[in-house]
Amino acid sequence: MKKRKSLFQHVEPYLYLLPAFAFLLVFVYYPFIKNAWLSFHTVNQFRLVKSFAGLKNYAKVLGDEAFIQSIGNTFIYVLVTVPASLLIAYLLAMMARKTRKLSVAYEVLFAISMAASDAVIAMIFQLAYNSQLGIINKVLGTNIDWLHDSRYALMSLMFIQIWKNIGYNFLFMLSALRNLSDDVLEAARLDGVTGWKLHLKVIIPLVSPMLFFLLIKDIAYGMTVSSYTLILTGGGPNNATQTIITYIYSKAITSTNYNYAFAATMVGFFISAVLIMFSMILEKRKVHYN
Amino acid sequence: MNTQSVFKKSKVKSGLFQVFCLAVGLVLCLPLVYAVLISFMQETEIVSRDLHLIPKHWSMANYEAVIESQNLLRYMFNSLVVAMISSFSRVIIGCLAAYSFAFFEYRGKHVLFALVVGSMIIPPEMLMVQNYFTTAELGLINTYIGMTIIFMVSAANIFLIRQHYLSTSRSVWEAAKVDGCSNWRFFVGILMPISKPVIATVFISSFVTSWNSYLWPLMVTNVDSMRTVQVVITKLNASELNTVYGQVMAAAVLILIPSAIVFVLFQRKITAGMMAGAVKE
Repeated sequence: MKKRKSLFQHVEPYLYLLPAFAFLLVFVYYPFIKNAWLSFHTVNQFRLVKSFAGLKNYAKVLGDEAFIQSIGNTFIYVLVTVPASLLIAYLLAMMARKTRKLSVAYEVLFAISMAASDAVIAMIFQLAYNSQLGIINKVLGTNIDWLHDSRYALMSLMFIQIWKNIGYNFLFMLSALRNLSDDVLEAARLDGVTGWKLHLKVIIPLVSPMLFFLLIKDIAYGMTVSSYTLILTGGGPNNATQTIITYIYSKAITSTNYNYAFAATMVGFFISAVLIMFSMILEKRKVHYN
Repeated sequence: MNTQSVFKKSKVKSGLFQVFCLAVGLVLCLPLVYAVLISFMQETEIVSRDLHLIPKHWSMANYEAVIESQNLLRYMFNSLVVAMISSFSRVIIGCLAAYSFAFFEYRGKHVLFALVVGSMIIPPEMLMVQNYFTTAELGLINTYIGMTIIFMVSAANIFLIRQHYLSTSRSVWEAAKVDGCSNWRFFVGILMPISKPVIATVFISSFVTSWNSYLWPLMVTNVDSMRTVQVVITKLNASELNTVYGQVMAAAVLILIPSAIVFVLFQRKITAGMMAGAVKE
């Protein structure tokens, strides 16, 4: 005969969830809903609601050239850094696919950028980019102020980001490539599929689940970059390196213009959610699962 | 041509290829090598305008300066505390939630699980401004708890641990139930010990993430004594122009060492763990 569950037994599974949900509610769902709510209101500098604003804040922020530029910069950032670092990581992973005597050594070298923090990397490149002392100008024999010349600033930050992302993308790509059986590659080779075709027609389709995982992850990450801009350029020169997050940060924290900050947050969230969902749909349609 | 010489030839080729790989690896690591070399240079060498990379006199002066006058160890301690708190918290809270999702049947479970997974679509950076106000209202500015509070739970970790429980521990659970083991005893005495691999993955990846985080610790601290190393290093050269790069690089190397060691030792574990949650469906 089955005993009826006691009250404790009913509650028990919820108790295990309690700590996790306490944090998720207070630090994910609450701030999100609150931000959404406030973005439709006019607030003062103490964040007290003054009046209902409808879409006025959105109109204002979307009319702000600096914000449009930060969205543009963020898009450029993602469009350049994500494919570039994925491509380099793919090539490195192809090189490292076969395990050899020295594999352990060069795998670590290929992947180590993953362990370095944004702040450390930023400081190293700050010196490397320095117009007088930096190695880059010394080697190139140029005299460019990489971080403060609006023609080069964004490009210089993107270069750092590509370098930083290689390690992570490499490691994941490597494990995907190592899961491919040699038979498949051998069969393709016997069928006369070689060179570019071997990669495009055989290998890439087979590792596409991993590629899309990395793509989504890199896009999500790229949409919210801020460290290099905050540490190295402060968004300058003339907003040339401003990203969505640094724009929000400067409006909210530096100039306490919350009406702009909250609406900008919602726009930023909307853009990154759309991009992520778009790549998920693409994944469903194109990815080859065996 | 006999087989032996073919074999020899391919061996030479493989050797050359490995050397080539190592060379590519070194080129990739140039920024880090650069930091190490500069950190051992004396000031006059750093500011000289000619190109040279190997220090003429290897000097420890920069390291002594950042440790003694810049008090770097104090900030490393802060970073360590913050990383430990959030890693332990992510393991414990993550395991508890995953336990509930993997082994119990109750009303609302699917909705609650969807809420956990759904939270992953909201980028944490977009929430930082509101979370900063919450943290301030709770009086947690300049406290360790405040510095870790948004890192206490990771939805991705809950998902990962749940996957692990579902794939490895169901049969153990049924056996323990037959033996009349209580739920809590099963969790503490059996489930936690047999889940060491996934716990290690979560702990290590949380540790590195937290040790390396920048924006949040910057926002919630405004007194010097509570800064983390990541924040401090970006402020080292603010005072004097161009003259302290040697110290900045020495600090960079010192900060990089712990995460690089953890990374080299546990690299395979971290990737294996992240993969399990990422690609398998």
